[in-house]
Amino acid sequence: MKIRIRFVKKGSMQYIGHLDLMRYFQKLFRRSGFDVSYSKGFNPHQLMSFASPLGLGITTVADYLDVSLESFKVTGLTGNELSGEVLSVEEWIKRINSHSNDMVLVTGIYILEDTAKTSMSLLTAASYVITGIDEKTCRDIVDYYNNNEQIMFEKQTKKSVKEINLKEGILALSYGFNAYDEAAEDFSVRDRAYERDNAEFDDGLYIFCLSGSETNIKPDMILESYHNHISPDTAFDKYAFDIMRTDMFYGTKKYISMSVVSGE
Amino acid sequence: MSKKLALSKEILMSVEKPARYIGDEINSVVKNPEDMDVRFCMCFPDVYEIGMSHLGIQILYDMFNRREDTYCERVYSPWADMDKIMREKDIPLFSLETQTPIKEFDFLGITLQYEMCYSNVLQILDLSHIPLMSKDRSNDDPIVIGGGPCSYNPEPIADFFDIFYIGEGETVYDQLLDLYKDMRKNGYDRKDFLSKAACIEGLYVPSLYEVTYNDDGTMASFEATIPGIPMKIKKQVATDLAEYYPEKPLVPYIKATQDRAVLEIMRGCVRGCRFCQAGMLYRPLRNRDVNFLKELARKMIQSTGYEEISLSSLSSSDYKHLPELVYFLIEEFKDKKVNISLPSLRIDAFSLDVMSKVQDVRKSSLTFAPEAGSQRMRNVINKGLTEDVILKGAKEAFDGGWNRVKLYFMLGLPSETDEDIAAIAELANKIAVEYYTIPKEVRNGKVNIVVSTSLFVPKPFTPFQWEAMNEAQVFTYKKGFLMSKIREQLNQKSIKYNSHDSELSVLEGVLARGDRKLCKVIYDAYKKGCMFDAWSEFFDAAKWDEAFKENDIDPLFYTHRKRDISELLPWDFIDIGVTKKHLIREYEKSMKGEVTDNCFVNCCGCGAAVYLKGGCKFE
Repeated sequence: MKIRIRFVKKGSMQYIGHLDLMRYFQKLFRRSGFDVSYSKGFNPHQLMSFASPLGLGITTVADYLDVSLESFKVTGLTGNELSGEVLSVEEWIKRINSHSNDMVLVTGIYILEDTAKTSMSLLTAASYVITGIDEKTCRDIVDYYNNNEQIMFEKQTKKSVKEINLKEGILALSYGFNAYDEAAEDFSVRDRAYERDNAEFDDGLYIFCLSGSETNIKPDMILESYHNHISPDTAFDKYAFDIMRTDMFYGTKKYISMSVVSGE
Repeated sequence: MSKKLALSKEILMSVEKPARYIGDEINSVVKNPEDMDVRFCMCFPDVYEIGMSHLGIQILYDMFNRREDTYCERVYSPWADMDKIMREKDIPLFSLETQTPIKEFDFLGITLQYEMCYSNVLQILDLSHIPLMSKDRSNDDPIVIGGGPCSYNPEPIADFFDIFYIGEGETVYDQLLDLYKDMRKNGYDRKDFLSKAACIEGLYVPSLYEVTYNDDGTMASFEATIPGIPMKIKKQVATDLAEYYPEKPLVPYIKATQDRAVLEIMRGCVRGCRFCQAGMLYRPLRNRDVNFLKELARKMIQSTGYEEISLSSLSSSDYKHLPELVYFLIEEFKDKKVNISLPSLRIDAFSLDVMSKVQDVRKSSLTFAPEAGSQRMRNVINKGLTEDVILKGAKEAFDGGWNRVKLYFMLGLPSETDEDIAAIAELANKIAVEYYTIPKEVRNGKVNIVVSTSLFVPKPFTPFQWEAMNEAQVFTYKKGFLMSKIREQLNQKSIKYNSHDSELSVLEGVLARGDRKLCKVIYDAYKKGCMFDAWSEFFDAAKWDEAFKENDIDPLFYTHRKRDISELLPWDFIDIGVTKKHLIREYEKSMKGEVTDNCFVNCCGCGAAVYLKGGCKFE
């Protein structure tokens, strides 16, 4: 059985890298007795894949992890009164979180079709909120974005420098949750109640941008571009603000939250 | 939600592995510091990944935190990148759990697992803004305690510590903490506290003892400076090993060196290898109950989610219930995808059967530790392993499909000759020959033999504590000679050779058997920038040389000089149970090439039995 897990990663866990987070989930599932499928062979490993790695220093309230599951039975624990019992999705969320720290939390488990593609291959967009920047600067950045026909940004990759147009890559840039909610309404299907509960900031700079294998926009690119525009002679301080990923999306005509599983 | 970190995002994002500094690991203990009478910070003076792999700290962390009046936290050496930032920005070193400056703690307990960490001890104190010298500390500074194997010769670092705890931590810490708590309530004075602590068995307060020297640099006397404190410090031994063991060990977020649950099956060793300090220090042998271990293994795997469990001891094959325990673990964890790792096993039919069940034979290698190449040399060191046994074990393993062998040896053992060294190369070749007796159709490709040599460092409380150590140039010659001998072998293409750094080992030798005169050298070396000496990329022999020269101290005095049996040794004031008489007897036997039976066969009367009611009993 395939499932998708939505999780939160916040606080000091932002300093835990992608591979270490994977190892964290592996141990977390084992502590919880979650019946994850293993690969065959002498060194079996849990079958799981993330939608997209989250950069170090960034928090999230909705990242996704696809897991192959044998069953919803509590498995692999000795002398546990729940051993062998089938738990509901809600009970599993509670159980897994009780074995986690309070900074990595599961907030949704979605059952997928057996033929479902991985969230990694489906991913087309992601939304972020940036905090720690004053209102005036935020509004100036929004104006900068709105008033330019195109915003070219040089993206350093391992091998080369690639020019991308942030105007095409960023679908919405707004100051404050309500403005963002309105701006994104036309082109997205979101879990708005969840966003309000977990990522509502009146003073946040919201960015909805393309993500995934085709075009991958990082939320701080627009800040760096703006910075280089107004003060080209000073260095861009990339740790002067906090970035939080607020959701991840699939689809192209409309960007649909990974938490909205098709067929439901 | 989350606690406030001591370091800013900017700093954490600019260093390698910021997870080293954030704490919050699974199973870490959360208490409210304000409700505590005693705050204890436990320190392993090396980088996080090494320190987190150490079982002793986990045991003591659990033990201290069982006390309702005490909160034990942890700290490790900030890596060089963080060290630089902390100095530049004047950020005091902090504990992981509550990110509290170390200086605010009541105690700082530092485990001393190897001599090369001494400069890191000074780094910890310095970054914590605690005066480096015990004599300069005030009532507001933590009490700095050292423990672990290097505290059996604490003299080279005596000036930096307030107390050394000699022996296993499970016994008298409660007494010390109770005394502290009591004195804090009734007007605390540091000096007064230390002189009372010095009366607790096993605790050594170096500032209360005075050493004088002869003109030739050897020790003339070791005296107490106040009346009523013991002249002999008695090693502490835990007799009930079921009392403390963490059922919920800490699980780091980043991969530690030891990334698995560790099950200590016994303490002590019956073998009596004459070079081995641990073998003498941890006597007498104490087994853990097999049912206790089975239950513990289950609990640890459940509380950590680890995918591997490792058995730990000095010589696992000597654990009486090993087959029962290992087959239980295999059965218990078969479906749970838990690997079982079994270091320090003798290669025999049982261990090969077990290994074929728990690992991929084609990918794993066999390890033998003959320690010396010739039988003569092995008799000198009392390593009761014969060539026949090695070759038979290797043959059985090759028949079972293995084709990789690791061999561990020491160079520079007492009385070693070129023939003894050449015998290492010959033994490696004989193992290869053994492999090629298997028909070509059956065997698994080519054999792969790795020979590793470490350099022998005489340690306190071993029969070789009086012996001279080889000089760096001699080691270099011996390594070259061994390499040339390996290249002469018929199967030389199948043999790879690795060796340890000579200069590093020589410094280890100096510090291991040093006296108080070295405190100043270590201090000066640290001030010159020495740190992380155990890491070859940081070890700077030239700086240490300078520090020795400036203090007019010849390091060869400590390493190259054969000591007289009657000489007063810096560590003679410590009583480890094993008597000096026994060590002398063993030393003399070694020079005649005579072996001593292991404790199961015959009691050699070493003296350690005094720790057990009714003496050693081996079922």
